[in-house]
Amino acid sequence: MTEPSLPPGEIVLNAVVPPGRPWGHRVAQGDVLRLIDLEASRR
Amino acid sequence: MEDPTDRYCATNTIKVQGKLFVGKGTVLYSDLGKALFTVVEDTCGRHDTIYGCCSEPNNFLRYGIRGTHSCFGNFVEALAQFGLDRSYIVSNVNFFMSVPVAIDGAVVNIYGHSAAGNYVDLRAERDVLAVLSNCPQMHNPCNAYNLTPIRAIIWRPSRSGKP
Repeated sequence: MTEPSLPPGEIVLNAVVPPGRPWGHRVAQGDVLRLIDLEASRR
Repeated sequence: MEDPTDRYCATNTIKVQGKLFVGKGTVLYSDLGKALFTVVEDTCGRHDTIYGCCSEPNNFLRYGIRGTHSCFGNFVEALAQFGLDRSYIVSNVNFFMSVPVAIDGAVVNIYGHSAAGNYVDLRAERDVLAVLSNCPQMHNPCNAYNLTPIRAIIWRPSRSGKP
C-alpha cells in the first residue's frame, strides 16, 4: 500500500473505502476531497 | 447541498472543457451549470467521463450473469443514507480509469491505468454530496480482476494557503 503524505490543513474526515464498497459524505464549499488509489491493482 | 436534484452532469463538463477526460483544471458541472468541484491536483492524469457505472442489468447484458454486485447497487446504498433513491444516480466519473475512444467510435483498452499512491484533489465550489463506489466489477479487466481499497480524505485548506 502506497500513500502520499497527508494534505496540509485541517483533516475533516479520513476513511478507507474497502474493495467493492460504497461511500458518501457531504463536502462543504471550499473543502477538498482527496481520493487516493492505495494499491492500484490495475494494468 | 443546495438542491439534490441538481446533479453532476457529464455532458456539461465535457462540453465546457472540450475534452472527454477529467484531469487537473477540470471543473465538474451540474445539470444547471453550477460548478460542483474543481480538480486542483491530479497525479494520475486522466479519468473517464463517458463509460458510466456497472450495474446488475448491464452485467447480465454483457456477461450473461445475474445477481452481480455492482456500482449501481453501491450508489443506491450510499444515497439511501441521505434519504435519496436511485433516481438520483447519474452518469458518473470513473476516477483512475481511462476509456479512450478510437477514430471509428470504438471504446478501447478499458483498463485502469493508475499506479499505487496516485491521488486526485477535488475542491468543492459549493456544498456537495459526494457518493462513490469502489468498483466491485469482476467480469472485465477494469480492476484487473483484483479489487483494492481507496482512501477518501476531506481536508480544509488554511485560509491563507492553497488550493
